[in-house]
Formats: sequence, structure tokens, C-alpha cells
Amino acid sequence: MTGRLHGCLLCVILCAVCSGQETDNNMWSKLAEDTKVTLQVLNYATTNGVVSNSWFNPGNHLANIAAGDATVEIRPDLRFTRGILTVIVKPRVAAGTSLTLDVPAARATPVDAYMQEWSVRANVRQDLMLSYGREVLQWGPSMTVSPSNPFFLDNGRANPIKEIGGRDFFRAVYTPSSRYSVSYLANTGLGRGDTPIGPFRRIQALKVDYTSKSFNFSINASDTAGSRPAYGGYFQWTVSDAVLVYAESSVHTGTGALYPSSAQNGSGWQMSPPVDAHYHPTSVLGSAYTLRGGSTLNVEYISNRLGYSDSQAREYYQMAQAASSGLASGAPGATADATLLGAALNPGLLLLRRNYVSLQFLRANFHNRADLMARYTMNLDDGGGTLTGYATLNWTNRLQLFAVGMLNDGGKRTESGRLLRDQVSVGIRVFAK
Amino acid sequence: MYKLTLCAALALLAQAVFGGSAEDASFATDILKKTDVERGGGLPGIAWDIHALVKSRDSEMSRDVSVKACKQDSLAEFTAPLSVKGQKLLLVGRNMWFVQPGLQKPVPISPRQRLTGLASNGDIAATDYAGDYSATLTKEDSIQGERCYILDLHANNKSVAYDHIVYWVSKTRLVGLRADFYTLSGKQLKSASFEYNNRIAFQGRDWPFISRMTITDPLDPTSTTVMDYSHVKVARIPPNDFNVNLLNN
Repeated sequence: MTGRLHGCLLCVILCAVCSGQETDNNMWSKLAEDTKVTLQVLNYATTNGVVSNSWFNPGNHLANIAAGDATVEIRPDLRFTRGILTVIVKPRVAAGTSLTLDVPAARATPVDAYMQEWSVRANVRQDLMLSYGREVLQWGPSMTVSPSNPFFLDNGRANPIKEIGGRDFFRAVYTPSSRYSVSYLANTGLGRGDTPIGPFRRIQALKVDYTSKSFNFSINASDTAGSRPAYGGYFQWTVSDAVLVYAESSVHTGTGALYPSSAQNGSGWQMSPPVDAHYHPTSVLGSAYTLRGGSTLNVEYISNRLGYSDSQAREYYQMAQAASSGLASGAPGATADATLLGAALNPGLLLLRRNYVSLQFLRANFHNRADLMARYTMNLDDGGGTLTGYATLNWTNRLQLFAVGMLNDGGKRTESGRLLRDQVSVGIRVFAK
Repeated sequence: MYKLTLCAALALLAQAVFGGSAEDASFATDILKKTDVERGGGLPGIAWDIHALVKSRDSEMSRDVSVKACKQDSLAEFTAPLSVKGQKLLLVGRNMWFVQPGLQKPVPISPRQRLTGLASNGDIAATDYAGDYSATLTKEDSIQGERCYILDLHANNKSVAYDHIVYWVSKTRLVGLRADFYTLSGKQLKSASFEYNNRIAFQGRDWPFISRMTITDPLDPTSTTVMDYSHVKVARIPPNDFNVNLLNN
């Protein structure tokens, strides 16, 4: 089905490109005129400080994280526009190697070529856009997490280097005026980078956006196959020239996330979705203040009722400790223990616990050439925290130096103490075109 | 001819109402509405390119930006240099978002955040002084031999970039020639001068349109930002272009 659809779309594109009795030269020159191309090449090295004696990754045998690696990424973006049609293609090639020999298979394939995003858009009317393709759809004012988005857990705000894997979408966006719009969004297939904890489940959402003079809000209702509908929304208010206030929330009935519980099996534990169908709101309340000098300070409180309670967290760490011991002993149930730990590391939750506070400092366009960001997110339930940050410096108009860092703080029974102690990437971005 | 008649009528009106505060404010607002058009405001849709040159004591850099505007909405896309190519700034009313290529999520920003150099985000957008400020005509003065009305503008709400603007408007051409921008406490933030060598066709008439905005820092005369406007075109901009959900790519 997907293949046929892709074929039809290709025919439409070719018809649009080749329409009319044009000579080859004319056709190619028109194609060049209508196509915008950018090309970036990123070279960076990353060091990973793996938590020693982690229950979730004993001996680093499960996650197999290299102490260091080097990566080259080639990122061309092509945008072709002709009449009502726009075609966007973002292929990627990444080549990486482990800089250390302790993890022989840091990458399954040394060179990875993939399609990060592609889409065909048709502005069938001035106020109606239809599109199909692999896209990354992000919205909402929050920095840390975007709970109102039913499609993506990661909002990509912590690391400007990493690209979030796109997912396959059909979209219809009706924009009768710049003040409001109505969107129908259907996630028709898993995207690159998705690590499903079950079979793919189609998600559809209806989203309404309204923008007033100084505030805007959005509400959406989403339906995931096999689940009850979920609701999300956000608002953002420009209180003054310096102050923004915003909130973002979602409400789910039931969840597909995994929770620990004791079980009558070899390991004595299991990770499974809850059987109850309670409402689980997840909310972010935040504010931003911009100083006269241009720096912006954000503060956010995150309430994640889907996260583990204190008792669930206790069971979670007990389970991890038991599974880790089982794995280390080489007992017959080691495979089950490894599976359990894999599920524990990726339980399908936006955040593991329920209450967080995040502070962020951002200085964009410093001396017209540098961006600096530092953010500390504290888990109020377990006392752990994560400091993330990045710095970019436009050395010349074609070269940018960058550094991205993350430092986790917390003990073995904290969310931030599970896998990585720290991570630093430094590199150079070449703007080739 | 029509323009001269309008100027004469406004001048006569000014003579008649000078000193009467309500009429004074109304006259000042009428002037503002006209000067807004010459800086992209109040039009059904307009597009232009900006080349911004930012100079400071020890450095110089430039930015090229393509702007689409319709009433209170503007979309600016950086086109050069390559290090900023593809960055976008969307203003819908006072709501602002910034998008960087590779970061798919539009980031909400405040009007105070600077675009580049001394130019704030609001400076590249279509001007809506008539909607954002209450104006009073204070006195007359001359700039380089050209007689000007001096308008005192005070923000109607807190979400605009400047609390107070003193605005010099040419009496004969009815274009804004200079603006001094102040904080609520009275501290001068910057000063801008304007030139109008572009022309646009609107409502069957030929209007002058801004061609250069020069921003200076009163505390540091070596720091300037010069924005040159070109390729000005009045055209209907579809509402899709101002939809934050379609801002990526």
C-alpha cells in the first residue's frame, strides 16, 4: 500500500516537473530555478561516560555504549516548488567509528544512508494544504518536553546537533486566516529511529490553533489504534516585550507505557502496561524572561502523572537490581533478565517520575556569532538531575564550531543515574551550500 | 497630485487643530497610519528583501533576509550567509517564533530578543505604530533642513518592543525620518533614521517605501546596523505562510 502510494506521488512529481513541451535545457534550468538546496557536513567526536556498576547496563554489556566515537554526517536538504506542489527531500549519510576498542560493535553498520524526511505538499487552495511523507512534526512552547504532541516524545530542544527521526504522516491543514487553523494529522507508519515496544499503532489527531494579538493556544484530540482517545493542548501568552508565560498539557486514559510488577516467572518481575484506565494528565507550566542584553531565562515545572510513583519506583529499582544480579550470575534466566532491563531502560514514558523543575539560560546571537544554552532539570521525586548545554560559534560564514554536553547527577536509584554519567560532543559544521 | 493634496489637507488640519489634544491625537494617528504604509504596515500583503550590515568597533557582519508581511503578521527568512540560511522568524500579532534548520520545533521568543546587531525582531517586520502606540503631536523641528512633525508615541500595551518612541515625520512627504526609542524609565535604547527611495503601487497610487534604516547606539557611536530594503513587491500573501504549523522546511 505504502509502495503504491509512493509510486503515485512520484508520478505526480514527474508530471509536474515535465509538464509542457519543454526542451531538455529548459526543463533542467527550470528545475534548478525551482529548487532550493542546502548542504551541511558535520564532523564530531563524542565521549560517553558510562555509569559503572549500573543495574540497567551491567558491565555495559546491554547498551554497548562506546567510550568515544567519531561521526561524519552529510545532510543535504532539497526543496522543489512548482505551482501548487512542493517536494521536500532530506536524505542523510552518516559514517561513524568507535574511537575505543572496548566495544567492538558500537555501530551495526559503519556507513548508514537513510531518508530523514521527505514530503510532497500540495496547496490545493490558498487556505488548504495537503501533504504526505516522512516528517518531524513538533509544536508547543515548552523547552523540556512537549506532552501535547501525541506523535513524538523527544522535542529535540536539548541537542541542536541531533535530528529526531521522522515518521510517516498524512496531513491536511486548513488555514482560513493567519489567526486560526485546523489540522488533521495521521501517522501512517513508524519512522526511522522509532523503537516500538509493540506493533505499530496508527495515530490520528485533529488539531485546532488560534492566535490572538498577544496569545495563542492549540488543542488536539488524538486517537491511537487500540487505545482510548487522548487530549492535548497548550497556550502561550506574550505578557510584555520581555515576558512569556506558557502551559502545555495532555490527558490520557490508560497508557501503553510499561510499569514494573512482580510476576510468577523466572526473574520474579515483569514490565507491562497497567490494566487500569485512569486519567493521566501530564502538564508543563513555564515562563521566560528576556533581559535587556538579550539573554533569556526559562523556568518550567513539569507534572507527569504517568510517571512512576514512589512505590512503583522502589519496585522498578528492585527489579533492575535483581535482573542485573541474575544477568551477572549467568543463570538460566539471563536472557529474560536482559529483556527486562531493556524494557526498563525504555518503558515508553516521557519522563520516568512525576515532578520536575527545569531552569534554562539561553544567550542567542551573542556578538552576532554564538549561541549558548545551559539547562538543569531536577527530578523532585528522586533528587537527581541533568545538566545539559550547548554552544555554537560561527567561526566564518561557512564554518561553525559546536559543543554539546550532558552531565547526570544522582545515585543508583535515580533516573539520571541509570546509564550515562556524562556525554560531550564537539565538532565542526560546514555549510557547504 | 493626490499625494500633494493629501499633504496639504493634513498640513491645514494640523494648523487648525494644533493645541487641541483630542484632535491632536487623531491627527497624529492619521499621520502614523500613512507612515506605517511606507514601512509595510496596513497593506494587504507585501514582500521585500533586507540586507543588514552590522558594524561595531572591531567587527563587521551582514545578514540577508526575505520578508513577507500582511497587516500585523510577518515572516522573515534568512537567506545569507550560509551559516544562518534557512532560519525563520514568524510574527503573528505580538506572538513570535523562531525556527532553525534541523531543529524542527518552532521556539517561542519575546519581542525583546534581537534579530541581529541593534535590530530587534520587530524592526524587520511591517510597522504598525498606529495600532501599537498612542500618538500625540508635540512640536515641529527640522532634520537636515526638512521640516518635521514630532510625534510622541507611547505603547498601548506591554508586549511591544519599545515603551516610548519619539518619531520625526516629514511635513511635506509624510514619511518617518527618524525615531528615538526609549524604555519606560526614559533610557534611550537606540536611534534610527529612514530613507525612502523605493516605490510601491497601492490603492492605484504610487507610494514611497522605505529603502534604508540606519540604527545607532547612543552609548556607542561606533555601533551601527544598516538595513537596506530591496525587491519590494505588493502582493497578497496566503495565510498558510503565517501558520506556525507549516513553518518548518
